[in-house]
Amino acid sequence: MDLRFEPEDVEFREAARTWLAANVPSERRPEDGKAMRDFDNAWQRTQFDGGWAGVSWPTQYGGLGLPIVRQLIWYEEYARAGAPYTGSTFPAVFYGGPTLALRGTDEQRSRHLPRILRGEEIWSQGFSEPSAGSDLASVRTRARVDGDHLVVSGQKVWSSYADIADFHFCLFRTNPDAPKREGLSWVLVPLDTPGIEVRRIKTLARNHHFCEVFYDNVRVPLDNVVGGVDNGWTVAMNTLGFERGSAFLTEQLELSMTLDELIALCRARPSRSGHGSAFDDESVAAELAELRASVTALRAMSYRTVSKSAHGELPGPEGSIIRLYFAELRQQLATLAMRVLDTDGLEFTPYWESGWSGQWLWDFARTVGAGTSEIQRNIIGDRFLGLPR
Amino acid sequence: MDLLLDDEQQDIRKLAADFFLQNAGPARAHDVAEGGSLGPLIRSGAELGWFGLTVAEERGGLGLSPKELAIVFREAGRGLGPLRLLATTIAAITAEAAGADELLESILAGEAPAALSAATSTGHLLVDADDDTALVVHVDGATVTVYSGDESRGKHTDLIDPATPGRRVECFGEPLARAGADVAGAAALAIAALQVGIASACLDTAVSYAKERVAFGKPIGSFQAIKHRLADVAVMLEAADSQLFFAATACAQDLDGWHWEVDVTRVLSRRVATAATAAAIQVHGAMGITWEHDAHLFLERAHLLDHLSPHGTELARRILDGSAVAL
Repeated sequence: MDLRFEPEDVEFREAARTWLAANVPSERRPEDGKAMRDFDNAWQRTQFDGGWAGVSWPTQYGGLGLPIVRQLIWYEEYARAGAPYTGSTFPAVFYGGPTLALRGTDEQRSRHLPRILRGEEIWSQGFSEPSAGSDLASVRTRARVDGDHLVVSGQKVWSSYADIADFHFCLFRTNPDAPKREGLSWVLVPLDTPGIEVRRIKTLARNHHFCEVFYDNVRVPLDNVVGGVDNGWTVAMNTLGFERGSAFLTEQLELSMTLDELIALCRARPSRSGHGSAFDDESVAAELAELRASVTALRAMSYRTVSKSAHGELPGPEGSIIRLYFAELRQQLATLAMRVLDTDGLEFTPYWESGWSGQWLWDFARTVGAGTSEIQRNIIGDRFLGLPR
Repeated sequence: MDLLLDDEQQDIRKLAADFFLQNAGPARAHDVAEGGSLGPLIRSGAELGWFGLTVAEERGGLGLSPKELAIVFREAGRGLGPLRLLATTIAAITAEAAGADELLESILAGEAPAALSAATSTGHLLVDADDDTALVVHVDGATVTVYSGDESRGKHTDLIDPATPGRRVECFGEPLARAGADVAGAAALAIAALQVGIASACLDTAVSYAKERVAFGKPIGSFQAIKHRLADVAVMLEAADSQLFFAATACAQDLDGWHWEVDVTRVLSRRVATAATAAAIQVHGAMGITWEHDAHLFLERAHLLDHLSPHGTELARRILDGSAVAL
């Protein structure tokens, strides 16, 4: 066990810090639509041009080919610098792209990975359907092989950013006669293909983060299948492993900074007893200390996970542990903020303008997205503890 | 940067696990709870050098680091190792830091078993103390003091943890050695490690019972009511365990802020020990609330450890006032 970083790692950290200080955009990130897409792509491009995109991605596809610990350092500095939320680049950069890097053909990798890193391709995930969420293997959207194409009909839902994305990476049913998990394919679909209709969904936090995507006899080249026809389930498991297992890289420091804001809020608000600030209230202090301890542990958990990766382990059920822990923690934090705000929290303030009440609402999505907390507990129980199904 | 145990540390872990299996464990704890004696534990502990784990080799110790301290006490927690091991180890570290060579020598030789004190509203409780107790270790904020124990044996009292003999005293004997925040931090680290160990043993026991016990025609571990409760404990354990070794490593490398990382570990280790011991009792159903079952011994031990300094408001304020190791 060693917490010291190698001299080259320290150098890398300092260079990253310097570059970020000079290059992080100062304007607020737009929350929606084409303005958001342009902003996210431009910021991704800036990172690429600065030589910081795809720290652990292979060099032949435009990445830096560096060990995973550098990826950790990069995102620690990224969060520390207050760099923009990764936003619409997240699905491709954090889990769609890594899935392609692991399971795609050389041709597929060369076609997409460099474009993702250069901020030229936004991806959206199309796994869930109206009747297949937690029970993902029951997806029904049908993809029929017709010559060198798939013909797709059905409906996907909860696709983040599909309204502004270029590609939709989906799980389709290619063989309805095979057992549930054996007749699926992982397919990358250009969203401008005829027969696709995207509709936005408004959420409780008043954003349009999610979309439904309708497929009506959409023709997709077979070349766009990743990992082979009818072999999509194992590819999807890789995708979910990356989705649950790497997002924590930016989240730990982000959460720590949100907690700093909450403590500042408690110091600025009067206590309920009328003496001193809310921060002087013993029950608030006890809760804040518990939250500080919980947030701090995320760093140690991330370091342990990165240590395992450095020893050659692929992301496993630990991803679900961190995912569940983070989601519940965010909710606890926002709940305490709303308690301290009392009636002042009755006014709606959007989270994209750093408002607490909008944040509190949006945090209800945390225990649903990337697998509900209940599904995460099933995974932890089954795969980590080895409990019977 | 690497937060995993290396091969040598894995060996130490196995050695410690075997030691506590043979010399401690729930069966021995039940004996003590029924009034039996601990047996030659202090002597065999001394022979293996446990009390001088982190004491420099030239002063008769093993010269290991706080990382190994955490590894060993995590196993002590798993195996319900008697708390005099903790007290005696802290006494040795204090004597070393204070330059009390004679005292150190007698502790390392196993001639001076120590007890920990816990302040109550009317005086002090000595934790794991009996007629052989020679020293009292008292932690107060950032100060650790070792007192002579023979003049202040006090009266026997039953503690909430039946496997830990207790005494009630009004004053301590002579102060023999005193040390500061570094030793207090090492003591807190060892306590956190004990709590994490307790949690990990309880989770293991509950999981294996949930795989075996059948109700409604299925192993109860297949029911989400059970599975999800144990998953929640696993999550808390991953957090506490990761932070334990982060803090131990920060302490070993004397990084600024390591005391704070230990305080944070105490909060997390307390949380998981509380949750895991309660879950283990609940999953075992009515068996879990019987005297003969082991589950309550872990619950009571965890509760006792939770009240050793620093705890409660003092701990919360220290966390809110301090700051983390910066990397």
